[in-house]
Amino acid sequence: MPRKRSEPATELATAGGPEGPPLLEHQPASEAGQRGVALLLAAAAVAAAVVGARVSFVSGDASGHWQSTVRLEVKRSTGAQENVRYLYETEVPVAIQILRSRLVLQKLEAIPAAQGGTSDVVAIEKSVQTEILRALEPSLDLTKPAYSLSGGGVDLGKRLADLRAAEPDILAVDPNAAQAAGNRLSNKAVLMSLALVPFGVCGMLGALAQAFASRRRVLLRSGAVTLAAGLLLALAVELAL
Amino acid sequence: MIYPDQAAKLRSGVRFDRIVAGVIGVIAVVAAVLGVVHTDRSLASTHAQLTASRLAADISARIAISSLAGNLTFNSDEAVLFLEMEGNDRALAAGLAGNAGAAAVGGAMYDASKQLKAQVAATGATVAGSPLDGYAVNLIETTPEEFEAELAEQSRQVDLANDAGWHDRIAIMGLSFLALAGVLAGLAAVLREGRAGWIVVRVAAGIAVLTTLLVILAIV
Repeated sequence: MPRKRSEPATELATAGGPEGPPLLEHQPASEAGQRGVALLLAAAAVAAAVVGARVSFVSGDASGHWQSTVRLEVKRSTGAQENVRYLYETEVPVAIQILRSRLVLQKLEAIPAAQGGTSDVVAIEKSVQTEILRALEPSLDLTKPAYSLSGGGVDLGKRLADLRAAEPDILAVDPNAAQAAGNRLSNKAVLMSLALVPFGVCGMLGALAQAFASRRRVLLRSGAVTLAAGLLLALAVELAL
Repeated sequence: MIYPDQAAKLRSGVRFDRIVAGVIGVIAVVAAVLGVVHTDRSLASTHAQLTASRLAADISARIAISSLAGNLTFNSDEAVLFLEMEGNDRALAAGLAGNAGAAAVGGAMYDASKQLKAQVAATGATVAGSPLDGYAVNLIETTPEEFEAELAEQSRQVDLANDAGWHDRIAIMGLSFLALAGVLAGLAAVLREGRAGWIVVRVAAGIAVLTTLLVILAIV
């Protein structure tokens, strides 16, 4: 009995009779079966290409976020270094000179007359210290009452906080936020790339379906299931993360 | 009727097709796995490299600020010492010269140095106090142990980057070999089950198997 065009090829038949030559497995299979294989392989290839491209973009975004953390870290640390350097190397030496002069003047004013408190030397030294304070005090915020400690000295922490607060954009720099964003995108890229494995399995099943005509239907269905599984995984990762 | 030699030839063709299909299937699956490994390892390498860079920038900042803090302490103590020495020497010299006024000035300076020492110490104790932000406090108050730990972590990240980079290169090498195997499998399908076709498909299969070993190297 002649085989219908839509039926898959059958196993090797015994020597034929009036029905015609026996059918052999490696003869070209039905068009529908071949079309199915071609469609499955094409779908797997397209899905793999699309997901692969998406993984590439997401990976690039992750790398971009991580690279920005380095830039932000340099910006933040440079800003902090400059604030500390300005305070410690520019303001504090002058502040110590002012504290010195204030204390010396205070002690000079407390010298009793009997011990030379009214002498010319003491008067000259008082004048020197007064002039030093007159020259230095107006130019320095650090020794103003806002930063004075009750027992003497100056509040460096408060002054440094005010210096940093004067540059709010640098104070607000947070490399950790960019790091976290990069980590999230990296996890997304790796999870999405796992979808490539079912696509690969789908390709394998499609290739085997071409060679094993008798099992083509099962192999094509399995291939379709793995393709769907891969697409679902990719979609789930895309939406969830 | 099918003659035996024709039947054998036809069976050989079936076997050839199945082997080619199997090789293509292995290539597809191994390529997918290597794709996942490459994505994971390349991201891990990039992450470790950039973390190491970030830590290097932080360590540089800590070194600079630690140096500034050390200089501050030194210069402050130096100012106190100079005032003390000046006061002491003035008082001594003035006493020997019999100048009461100058001796009083020296004494005042010496007494002031004691108070200046206390004020400088109080000033230094405020350097990392509130309302300073946590990042600046952390930089200023870094202990030698914390510094050593950060240095060790930076070194570890560099090692991680190198290790992940090596695995990534193995994965890329595997993908390159699979591309070759894929081309050979396609060539075998064109050449069919002749002598040349069998040689080509065996080479393709061999490359696919070797690449499977590379997958293990890339993962482990």
